[in-house]
Amino acid sequence: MLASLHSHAVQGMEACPVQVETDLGWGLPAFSIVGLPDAAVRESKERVRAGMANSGFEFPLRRITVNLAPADVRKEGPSFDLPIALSLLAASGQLKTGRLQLYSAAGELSLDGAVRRIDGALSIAEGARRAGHTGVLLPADNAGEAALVEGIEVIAVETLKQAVDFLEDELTLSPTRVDTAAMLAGSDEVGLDLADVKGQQHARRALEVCAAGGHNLLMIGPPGSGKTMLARRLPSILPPLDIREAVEITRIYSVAGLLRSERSLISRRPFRAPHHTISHVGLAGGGGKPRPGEVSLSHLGVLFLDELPEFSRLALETLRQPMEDGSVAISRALARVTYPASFMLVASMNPCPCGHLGDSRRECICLPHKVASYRGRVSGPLMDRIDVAVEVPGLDRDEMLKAGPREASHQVAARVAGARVRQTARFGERGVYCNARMDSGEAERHCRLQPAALKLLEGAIDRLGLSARAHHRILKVALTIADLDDADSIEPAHLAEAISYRSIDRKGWDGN
Amino acid sequence: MSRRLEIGRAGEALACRYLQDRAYEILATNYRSRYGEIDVIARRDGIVAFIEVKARASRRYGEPFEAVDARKQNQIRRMAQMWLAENAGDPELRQCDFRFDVVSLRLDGGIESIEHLEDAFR
Repeated sequence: MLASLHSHAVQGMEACPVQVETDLGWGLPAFSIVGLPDAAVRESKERVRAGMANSGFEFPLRRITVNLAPADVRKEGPSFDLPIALSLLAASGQLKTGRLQLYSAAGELSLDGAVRRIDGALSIAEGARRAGHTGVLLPADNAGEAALVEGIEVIAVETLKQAVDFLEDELTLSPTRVDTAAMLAGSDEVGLDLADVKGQQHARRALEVCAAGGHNLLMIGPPGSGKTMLARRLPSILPPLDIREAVEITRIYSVAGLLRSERSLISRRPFRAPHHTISHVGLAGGGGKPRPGEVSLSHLGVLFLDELPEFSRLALETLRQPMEDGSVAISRALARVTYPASFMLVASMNPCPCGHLGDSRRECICLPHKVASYRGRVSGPLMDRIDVAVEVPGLDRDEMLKAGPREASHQVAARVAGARVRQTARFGERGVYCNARMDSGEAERHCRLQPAALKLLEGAIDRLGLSARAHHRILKVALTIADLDDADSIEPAHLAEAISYRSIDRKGWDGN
Repeated sequence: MSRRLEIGRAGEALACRYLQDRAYEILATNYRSRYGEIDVIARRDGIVAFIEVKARASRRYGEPFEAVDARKQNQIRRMAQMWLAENAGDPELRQCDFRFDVVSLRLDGGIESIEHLEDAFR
């Protein structure tokens, strides 16, 4: 007796189709699973056996072989429990097979026959749609995220018995529907506000420019000057997500196993702030069983690295590729996996180990070579990819104690939104979300410089010895500044401001 | 004959009678080789059961069915494979499913209890 059922294996971000075949052969009772199963899949046997028995089904007294085809793709995780059980039931005549081929199934089984949540359900629903199935049976806890996929019925099942009854047409289960507009709308929270930050006009302006164009930001200043406070308020001025972006982020969190059933849609831009002891694998992704790293968990959001020089050299170097490409490619023996990683980098650091170099109110006590080696921990190539670097000086006494009016986040957010509107009109449907994401060709095409501005740029390239990459990044920042100014082309003032944000190139990164 | 062997033989005979009373056909008893033995092979309703009979005089050494440990199970499985290989030509056998059972007896003068554990291990 032979039966077969559709399922999917999640590889990286995508789900690839897996055929779950069961053969009940003649011979001594046995149960083997083949098709490169990992430990969790091998343990399926115990869960399937108990789940079936406790759901009132008979466990066949045959030589059972389950094949998860194709045989050369690694099968990982407990999501094959449900399809294995269903195909066993079909092969042993306990499940009528009429509707079996219309659906795909995935889910973990509890010993009592309940269906438990799995990772990557959204990708699985997309895979099922690509394969042309009528619907996909998924754990009820995953149904919300899977229902974000249009064009396929998502059938939420709570128990194995329910799945069987549904497939035999003895039970009607309506496809799960979600109201994406409502999920997106209910995301405004009253939290951190820029009005909490005193002074720091220059840094606030830099924050606004970066938010408007999606540029990378480095804040340098003494301890306690407000760098971390400013960084944490960045999400409050970033534009809200549209549904396409929200689904992209949700897909990553689904694969990483970070979605909770109460929250099937990530509706706010991620803000990730890993501790500086994080490994390069934790930051960029990978590991024996590849998982998305912090750069992917902050996709379309903010990755905040506080105390940048404290991060390991290797961790910082692994940032370079995603900062350029907007994605991370991880190679393994049997597969190559790509995770999206289009994030805004915000970093903070002190100017020197003691923190007070350049501070008007306190003396720096560091030896010069210590300053140089401290700064050297952030390599030249990494600095080259920072679009905007600002100094965040310590507050003087009056600024600290003054209780004057300060701009609130919503005011800044309005300007940022205006600049983003211009960018959406500029890029249309091409999937480029903001100025920072332009490649060098697009940068040259869109960044029209007035003649005076061009002269200014030529001078800057000579004086600062800018690389080609630096030159393109300055153009993009200048375009953002022009967008904020509602101007149709880049004026000298816009360019001058953009150049000023690369003053680090002038001072020299070795501390001179 | 030692007391242990006596109890064992008695147990197997009692088990056979118990099974026959329940419409099982006894196909073999004491099927053995140097690698092990199967106490009883019996068939009913298209299922052939390889049965290990455990007889005990007292409870002191645990319930009888607890004596079928992993090593014993492997032995029985190997013997079952051998028996299958020997009988593979039998067309009726090709229609059968197979099962490993334990029949557990507690004897104390007479029969204290008999338990037939179907599908005791796989």
